[in-house]
Amino acid sequence: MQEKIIKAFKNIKYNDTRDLEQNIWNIISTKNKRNNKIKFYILAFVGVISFIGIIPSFQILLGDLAQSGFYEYSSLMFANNIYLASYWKELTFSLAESLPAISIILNLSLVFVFFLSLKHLVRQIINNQLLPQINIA
Amino acid sequence: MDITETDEEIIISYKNGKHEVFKILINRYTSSLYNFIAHTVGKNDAPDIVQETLIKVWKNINKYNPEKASFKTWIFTIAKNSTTDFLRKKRSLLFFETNNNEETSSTIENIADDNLLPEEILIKLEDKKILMEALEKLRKEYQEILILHYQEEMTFEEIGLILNKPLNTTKSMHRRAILELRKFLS
Repeated sequence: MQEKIIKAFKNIKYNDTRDLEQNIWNIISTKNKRNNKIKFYILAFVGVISFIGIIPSFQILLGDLAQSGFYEYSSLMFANNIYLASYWKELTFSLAESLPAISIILNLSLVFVFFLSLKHLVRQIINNQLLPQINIA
Repeated sequence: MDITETDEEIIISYKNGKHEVFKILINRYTSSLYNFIAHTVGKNDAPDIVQETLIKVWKNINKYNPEKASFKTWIFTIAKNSTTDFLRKKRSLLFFETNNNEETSSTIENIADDNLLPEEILIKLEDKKILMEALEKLRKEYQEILILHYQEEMTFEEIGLILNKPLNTTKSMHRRAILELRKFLS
């Protein structure tokens, strides 16, 4: 009985779906290309902005390091070995306290974001998902 | 990419960046989905729902977990949900809210599987038009079970996952579907 029912049901199967398959693929392909384009432009924008931001943030970091006395404390490390051996703990604490944490975090974050967006951009280009779809002309 | 690759292998390739392999899945399942959906909502509306289903599959492919169910089961579950949503919007669905604790008539349970459709009914099944007309008269859930089991050759476990019913309920519904089909063909 089972085989006869299976045969009967397969007999009423609609078979002509080639056009539908092609239409669906075209829609998905278009959406995919659009998504890849959007990803490319967002990654490129973020990469450029973060790169541009690194320069002033680095300048701010250098300024903060100078203001906080970090350079002076660092120079003590090379001044007198006897004092360094005796007061290394205090020097370490002073160095740590003089670090401008916010500037460092900002700078490192921008560098991280820049390299992350660069990595994703390169991966997209290597996978050949972006360049053929972008008409640079 | 070889067209004989399994669904899971294709999905792994897709996730690794070979997006063009999704076309193989479309070619593989469009016909089956169309048949499943067309018997429920009609040929006019079926293409839109098939399209909606496959787009949902594409958007959510990263969420597919092969340990929970086969890809075929997953895709048909999405199709079933899309069909239900469509019918709800169309307000043409009569909700037969079946409980999981359906009372099963002892008469039905006592009929052996081989005797559910006698020979004279099986002969009538060979006529496409008669079968299509009988199928259209069935309740939506019965249509779905028969299409999935006999056309797509899915097991009752898989069908239960798609229809979100326990295994025993699915088997009972299958029996009822066959008996109702028999009634319309008699």
